[in-house]
Amino acid sequence: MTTAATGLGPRAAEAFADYRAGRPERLADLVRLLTPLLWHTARSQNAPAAIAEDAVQTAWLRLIDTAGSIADPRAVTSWLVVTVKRETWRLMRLEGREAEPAIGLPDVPTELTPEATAVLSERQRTLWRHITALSPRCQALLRVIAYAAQADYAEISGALGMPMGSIGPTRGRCLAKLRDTLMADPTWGKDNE
Amino acid sequence: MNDDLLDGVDAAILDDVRGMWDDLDPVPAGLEERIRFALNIAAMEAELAELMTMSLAGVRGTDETDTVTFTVGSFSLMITTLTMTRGVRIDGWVTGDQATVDVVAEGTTLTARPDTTGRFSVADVPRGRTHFVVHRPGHRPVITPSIDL
Repeated sequence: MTTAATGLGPRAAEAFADYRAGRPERLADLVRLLTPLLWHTARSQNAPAAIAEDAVQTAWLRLIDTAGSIADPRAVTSWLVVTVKRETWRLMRLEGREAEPAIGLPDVPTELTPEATAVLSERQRTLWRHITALSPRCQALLRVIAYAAQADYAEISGALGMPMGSIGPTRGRCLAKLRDTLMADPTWGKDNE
Repeated sequence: MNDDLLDGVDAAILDDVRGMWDDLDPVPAGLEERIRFALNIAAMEAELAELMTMSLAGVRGTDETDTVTFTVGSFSLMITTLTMTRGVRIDGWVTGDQATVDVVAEGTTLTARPDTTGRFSVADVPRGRTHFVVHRPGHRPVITPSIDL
């Protein structure tokens, strides 16, 4: 159940190291592993789908241009997250849009549309209510780190402009807050613990 | 940060968050393929040809022949595809001699060497997404967008 929390970072680092060691086919594995994380990074910054796609694609092209300058292969994930975020903001400015951590979905109001509601289970709708009660920055952060490896949380939080800090719970205040409100909600249910 | 301070409850919540976003805002279909394609072009320092024309002769489902032209600069690649029982037959023509044409289908690449007039023919191409890479001496490779055979 925690594939993304334990395996993603090391597997990405390994694929990237192989790619740099002369196995170009491993780049496709890296793309497959990290594209969901990067998509949600761009979308969490309020980017419309077209800008998010461009930002993700540009980040990958930059990576192969600068692959040699990334000292530690383990840094590839956070390097891509930072690059996607910066590229998203740059493209948004070009279009005269304000980039910011998104509340809910960039293309729809905070309230779920009927279509969005239809794809969610009752449990997911409960989760959505608790998530949208958080600050936009917390929503954006949780959305991105849900796709990351645990080992990358601290760096990615920093990359998103939300350093976890040296004081306080390791899980970070956003996750701590979501956890508190979910645990206090009787409809969330005991089977989640 | 210490990994062991995040427990199973945290991990389960993040799994739920990920599942919710997978359903609400999935990665667009084809995005990964478009990224891989762009990376291939960049890695080869290739030029990207444009799809110029696509005409449908015959009727879909019966005698299916399509004619497609790709161009970039003064270079052109024209192909006609004919659907056979065992895959697709491609007849093509490319500007300039001494070119080689790679037909890149899913899981296989077939290489054609056009004759001195630029004509070539490839049989038994698997159906599905296919693109072409043309190598010419003294030029950057040309890569075409994918088409569905």
